[in-house]
Amino acid sequence: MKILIAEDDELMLRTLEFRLKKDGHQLILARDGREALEKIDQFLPELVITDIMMPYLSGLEVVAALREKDQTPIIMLSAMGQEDIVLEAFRLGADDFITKPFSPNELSVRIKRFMLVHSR
Amino acid sequence: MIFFQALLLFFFGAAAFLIFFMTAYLLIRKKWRKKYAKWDSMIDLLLRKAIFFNESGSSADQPIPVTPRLRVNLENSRFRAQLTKKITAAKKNMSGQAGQNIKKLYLQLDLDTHAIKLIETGKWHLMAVGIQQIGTMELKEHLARIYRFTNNKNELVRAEAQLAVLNLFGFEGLRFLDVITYQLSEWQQMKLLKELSVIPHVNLTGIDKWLKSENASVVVFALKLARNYHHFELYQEIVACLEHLESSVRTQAIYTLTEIYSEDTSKKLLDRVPLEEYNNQLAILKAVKKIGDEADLPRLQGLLNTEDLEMKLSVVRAMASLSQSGMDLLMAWPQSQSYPLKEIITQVKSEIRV
Amino acid sequence: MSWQTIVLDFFTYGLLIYSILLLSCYMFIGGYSIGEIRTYLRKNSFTDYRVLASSTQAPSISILAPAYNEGANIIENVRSLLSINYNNLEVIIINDGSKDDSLEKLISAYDLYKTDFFVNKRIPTKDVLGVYKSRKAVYKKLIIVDKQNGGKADALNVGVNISQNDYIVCIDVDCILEQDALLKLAKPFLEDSKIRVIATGGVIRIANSCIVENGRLVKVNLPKQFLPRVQTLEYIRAFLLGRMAWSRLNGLLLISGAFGAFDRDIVIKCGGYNHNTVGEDMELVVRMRRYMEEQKVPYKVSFIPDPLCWTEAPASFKILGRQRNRWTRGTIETLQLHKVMFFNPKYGRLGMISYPYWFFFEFLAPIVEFLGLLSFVIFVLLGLIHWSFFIGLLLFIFSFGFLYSVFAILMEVLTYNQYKSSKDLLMLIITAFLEPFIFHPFVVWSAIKGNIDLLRKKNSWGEMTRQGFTKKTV
Repeated sequence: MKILIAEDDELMLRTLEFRLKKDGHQLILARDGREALEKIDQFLPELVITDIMMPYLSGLEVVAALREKDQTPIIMLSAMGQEDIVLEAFRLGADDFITKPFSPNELSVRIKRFMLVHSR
Repeated sequence: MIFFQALLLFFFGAAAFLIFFMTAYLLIRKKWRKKYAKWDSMIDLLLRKAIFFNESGSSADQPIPVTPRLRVNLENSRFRAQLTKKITAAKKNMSGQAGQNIKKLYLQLDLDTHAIKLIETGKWHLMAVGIQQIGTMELKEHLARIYRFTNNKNELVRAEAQLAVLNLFGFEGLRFLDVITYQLSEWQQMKLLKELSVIPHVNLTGIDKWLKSENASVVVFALKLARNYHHFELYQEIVACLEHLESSVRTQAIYTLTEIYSEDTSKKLLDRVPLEEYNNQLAILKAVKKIGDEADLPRLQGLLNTEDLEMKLSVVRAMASLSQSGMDLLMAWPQSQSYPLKEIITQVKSEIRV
Repeated sequence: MSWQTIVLDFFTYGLLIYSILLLSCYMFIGGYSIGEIRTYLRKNSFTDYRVLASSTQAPSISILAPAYNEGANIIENVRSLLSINYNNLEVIIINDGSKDDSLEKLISAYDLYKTDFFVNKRIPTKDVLGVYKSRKAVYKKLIIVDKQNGGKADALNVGVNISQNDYIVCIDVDCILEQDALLKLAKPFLEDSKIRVIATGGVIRIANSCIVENGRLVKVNLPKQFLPRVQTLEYIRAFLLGRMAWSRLNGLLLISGAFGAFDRDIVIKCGGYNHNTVGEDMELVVRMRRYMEEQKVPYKVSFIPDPLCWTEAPASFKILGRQRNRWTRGTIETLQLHKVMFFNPKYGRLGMISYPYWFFFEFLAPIVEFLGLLSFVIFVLLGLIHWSFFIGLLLFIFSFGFLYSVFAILMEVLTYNQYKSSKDLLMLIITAFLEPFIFHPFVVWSAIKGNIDLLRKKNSWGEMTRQGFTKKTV
């Protein structure tokens, strides 16, 4: 599956890339919100994983902009565990929410489940 | 004249020295920056290896393979600082097996001894770094060493110690609230709540005691805990805080009662209005808007005559959103057809529509 | 001893003592700021601003941006303000009776509709013609106010009246804010539980020659033109050394009009911005401080040394002259309005240190310098003093000024280091060397003109009112 990851922490980005590549996914990396939106237009990923706090455009804004166009599934990734942010993300159209700290393995499993649900 | 010349020479000399110093500093830093970049990729590689350590089939008791080059670099304090920074950042972001592996690497490289050394320097900014590491890396064995810092005279040291204790013991760690004498700033309270929000919630005891603390900021914090974790059983104690001497405590009590309330809460809040200061009066009206019922309408109506327009607006908001009869009462009010009540009602009507 | 030598001695020694006092002040400021910056940077490395960005407890902020005939860029400017990283925020744009199509442009770009908003005029202002909000959920933070023209102070007061939040941040609409500017500005309000923080000032840096994309600063460059470059140096000196030291003393008098956050409650209690002065930003801070001193409530004006706001500096002598002229008048008017505090122990540090410093070294400095230079030239021409003494004194002051600038540059390099290449730094040092010859005399002259304009305005005030009257009847 073609997956775009938007995350400003380099190590985090590389770790996720490494983990998900092992699962056989094709990865597109973006380091800020603006780059994410540009690359979404360019590569049309099947799944978007985005951090919330990023330079230029926040993850929430990425979700809002993406939802104006299509229904590509989105998983939010963030250090914020607070209720209102989670609610806001879902309200804007995010499909899943993972709070940092999280385990890369858990993310990998969640993506597999996503693929199952969406292939049905 | 000699006086001028001497000073003049001195000033120019000093300027020249500063310029020289700046140039040297820039040159050295340029060199360092290249080195840092190299180190960066070296550290990233090591961390990735550590994070996925078990997945390559190696067992958990084996050490994470570390290159000799890295071992040599480890002697360098700058390298160590950078490595520590990256390891702690990674630990904060990852949980589960990945998190455990990062901790394993941290211990394997003996970075904890260095953290303790930092704490022992007695310099506040270094102590804070060390304490933070102990917390992030969940080194429970060092609890005794850092617990006493939760009431340290330096603000940063005690703030980091409080956070670290939460990191190590979750909600149990909040015990420091029993003893602290320094005020918790709003900022620190936010950080503590944030830290708690990622810790699995266990049954939390002790709030009742903190609600009666001598330290007003502890009471405020306890009120926030009661609200965030829905401690309905503390209702009576929270209501008692409405009469606290500190106005900040009363304000927070009003906020908390907006979440934890029973049938008569709005009545109790309205009882307080004549005794309260302005800001808290407004806060009460906001609360009543959310939790009040039709029985409050007559008393709200009694407040409608206030001269203060902000207050008037808040009263109208509360009445209009309680029920349709609230709106009817407003429209029937003698002044509702003239300035300023008419304009206020129009605004509130449009707010409800949106 | 002839009367001539007495006058001469008076001038010489007076000037010498004044210079030495001034230099001592600068030395103290330079030294005192070091510790404060170091403490700030050390603490700041522990600050995770994301906590604030995500919390519902974050203080609520209203950005107030007055706009007058800004139609050309208003859409982009507003977009840039809306993209700032802060949750608990409303952005209030006040259209101060613009004669261009600013409002129409905003209405169509943001899909605005006129609301039934009741404006509570706690501060008296010109009439509000309409309050607009967007139909789109993405722009729910935006409020546009249309009002009759009344000048910047009046527009800001309207914003204060309309704001529903605890803190107001006043900015110029064309400023470029850093992403986390508001987070940093809001934090001091949460830090102290005993002392009330009534305002926070931010650092302004010069945006000339910098690269800006979509309202975001992409790359920092040292201005290529001389005038903006000197001002870059000037701003580094003022913000990194001056304000930092004053904030440590809790004696800060000026929060720049282009970027600062204020406790709205206190602003309203003080009666808002004064529209009778051209220095409304300084005047407000002084009035708020005075109010707190009179109420005897412990308070603080905080200051954040990080570069948070970027603005275009005047690049021509004409506009620069006008700006400095206005600053001078603003300073004098503010000092005049609050002269009761001058060496008045009732006002604590404000009366005993801050005010006198501003009086002697901000207001009087250009006047003393101008008169001193003038009299020296006269004395020299009369053959009363030797050239060598005259030049010696000038060189002495010049060498100190240069040292102070170099010190400021060094502090910049050691802290934020916005100008990275050694070429840029060399340029800055050369600029510091040239400043006393090209830039400084002009600034002093503009300040003198400001003084003259103010005196003239006072004398011709009655006349102007009469003219107004005759116009009306015709």
